[in-house]
Amino acid sequence: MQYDDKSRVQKLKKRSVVKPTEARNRVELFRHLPQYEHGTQLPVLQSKFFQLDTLHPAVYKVGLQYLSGDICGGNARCIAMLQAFQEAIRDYSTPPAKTLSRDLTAKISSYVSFLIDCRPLSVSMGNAIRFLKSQIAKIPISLSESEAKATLHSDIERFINEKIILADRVIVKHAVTKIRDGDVLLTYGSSSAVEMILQHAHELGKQFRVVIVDSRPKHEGKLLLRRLVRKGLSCTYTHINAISYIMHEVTRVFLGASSVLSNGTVYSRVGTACVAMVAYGFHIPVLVCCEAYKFHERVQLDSICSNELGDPDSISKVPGREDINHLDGWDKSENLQLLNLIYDATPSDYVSLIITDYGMIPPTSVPVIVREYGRGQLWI
Amino acid sequence: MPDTQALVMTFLTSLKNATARQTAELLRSVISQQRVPYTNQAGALIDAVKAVGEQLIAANPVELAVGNIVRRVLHIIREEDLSLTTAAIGELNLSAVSDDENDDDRDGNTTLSAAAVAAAARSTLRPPSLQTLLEDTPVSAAVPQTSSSGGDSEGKTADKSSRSRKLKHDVIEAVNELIQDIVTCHEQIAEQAVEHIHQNEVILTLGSSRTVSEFLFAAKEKKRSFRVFVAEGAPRYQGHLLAKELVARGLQTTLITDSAVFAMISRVNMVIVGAHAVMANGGVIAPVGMNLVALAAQKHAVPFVVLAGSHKLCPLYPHNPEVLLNELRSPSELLDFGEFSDCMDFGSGSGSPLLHVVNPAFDYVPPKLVSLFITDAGGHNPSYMYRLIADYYSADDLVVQRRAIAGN
Repeated sequence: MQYDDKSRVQKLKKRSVVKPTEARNRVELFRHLPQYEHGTQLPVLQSKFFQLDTLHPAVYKVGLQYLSGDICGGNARCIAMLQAFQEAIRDYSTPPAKTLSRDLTAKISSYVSFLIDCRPLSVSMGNAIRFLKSQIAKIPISLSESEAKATLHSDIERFINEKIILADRVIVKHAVTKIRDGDVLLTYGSSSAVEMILQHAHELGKQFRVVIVDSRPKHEGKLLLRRLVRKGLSCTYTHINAISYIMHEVTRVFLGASSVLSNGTVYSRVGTACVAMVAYGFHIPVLVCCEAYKFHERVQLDSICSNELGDPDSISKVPGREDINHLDGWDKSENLQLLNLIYDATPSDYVSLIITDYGMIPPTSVPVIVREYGRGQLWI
Repeated sequence: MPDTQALVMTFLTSLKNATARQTAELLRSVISQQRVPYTNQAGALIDAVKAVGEQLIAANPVELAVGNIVRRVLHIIREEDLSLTTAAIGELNLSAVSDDENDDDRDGNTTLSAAAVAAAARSTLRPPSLQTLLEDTPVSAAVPQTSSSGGDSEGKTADKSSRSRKLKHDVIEAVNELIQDIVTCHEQIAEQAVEHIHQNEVILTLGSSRTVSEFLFAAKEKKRSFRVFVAEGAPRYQGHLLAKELVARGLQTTLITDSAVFAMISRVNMVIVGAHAVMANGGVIAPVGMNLVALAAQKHAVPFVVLAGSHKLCPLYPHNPEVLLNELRSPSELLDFGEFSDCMDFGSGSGSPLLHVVNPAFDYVPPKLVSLFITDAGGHNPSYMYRLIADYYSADDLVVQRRAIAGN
């Protein structure tokens, strides 16, 4: 959806439940992406909770959780969305004179546009929605409504189980073979897959140290740090600017991904590209851990063509440092823009290995997996 | 010299904010208050400056500008002494040539002048030539011989006292020029802005540097249109300050986080940054995060331009700069002590804590990543910086230590 096309944006606004207000100082380079004011929507939506007939309350709740940032991370968002859809399907009943598959597909589409208004979809969510719609389309007409709903329920259950939970276990099993005693492992931000790998390796008794690199404005590394220290791993915490200093000690780099694209580019939290570049410069292997359902046939060369823009106010304020308040009232000056990118694209040259549930593959093999195991065969 | 010592002590306590200019002013007062003997006055001045310089450098070795200024002043003293002596030798030669009616006098004068020339050459503390090394005469001992070797001794001593006053005077004048250079280096660098910034450019910078902001303002004054991406430069967040200043002057500014540098650099035409110090091999000691920017710029073939005043040029070679020329700051800038105090309770078997926090202040950028240095003396390649060292510093001063003089 191109947000620099005014007529389409107008049409979208008329249909939407969430009434987003556009951000004031927009960055020119990103006019094709939505930039909205974030602060005002949550209380408005919370007050409307009992008034909405078109939306199932479970979906509404998940949308609010996305908006406030309570749920973040590709796997968590995908699972939350699918479970909300399960509830919505359970409570669904086909209106008379309509077929279940067409009507349910339309309903799911409306839920999805609501979720997009709350927060743009991640690639994992997009793939899951495609799977769900294809399953709905495959339901034979002869099936009764309750049977169809049960089938869909178990399909979603199977998807979550096979593609996310079991896939993570396979990834962990592969990845711990790459960790030796005495290693110093670096990770960036907070990835669920990498966290599981580190915890499992520690349980197996391997001796290693972890370096957690963090960045503004989300400081996701702090949560990972807390969880790992509680489990008894020895951790070093630093910020992304100090990477060149700390990289001398590091032996391996483990990164998570939001998606891997067909040209081998890793689409992940902003800052991952910097980490991978410095590691490559120091000749340190970079291992990306990504479940196969997150692969996409799209290609991307830089981080600008497709991205997500976060709340600019979180850059102007530094939590815990009240003395850094030079940018109070930044939106009043028209010359200043704040840019809060959420994702960036890491070129495939920097990545040594991608660990997926299909095995450990080089970045160039991603389009093979998308083609061979994509579409019909992936979703058995 | 109790006065200078008191000055030095107050300076050392405020060394956290020491600048090159303050060091130069302090050394100027040290020199002006130093009593010089009639003979070997340059040596005395050098000893005094070295004594103070040693203390200054030891107080904060990471603040390289202080050491640079100490070495610059020492070089100034040597240069002034050399120029005065060559002028004096010139006078002696003239007087020897003009006195040609009396043979004895002339002989005496010419022999005198030859001996005086040799002794004066030794006494000017030039880098030892092969001849002086082989002659193996101590430097300071040579000077009294000239004064006792022949007639005109009163004339000579009168010369020497006026010479000593002249030396101090010249040195202080040269130090004043140095201070002036330090103060005006921003303007001289900013004058070159128009050559490098054209129209519709996009410039990236990290953190905040006064030289960079003056550079950009100068280009703006000359009606060049450009936009600036400022990376905020955690954990000091000086990028916020720079963004505010640039916006106040009417420049289109976008503030980005440091993690977004790689993402944005594909759309940037030039990276312009300031430096904390420039080392002898052309490497740069810069605020933390600069190496990241330099690597990203190299990957995308974006020119990486470093602005540095000539007082930041350091004659030392960076050995292991990440460790030896770095400062680790407080972890509370990254992690709040209150929030993470419970993590400090977890320890490994040996009792060492599980949680370590690393917060370096500086970064080293190797010379191969730098495209251009812009100093107040013009633009230079990184491979040329070693040559500038010969202009500003003497080889004897690399290690600032007062040599133990026997029987002093």
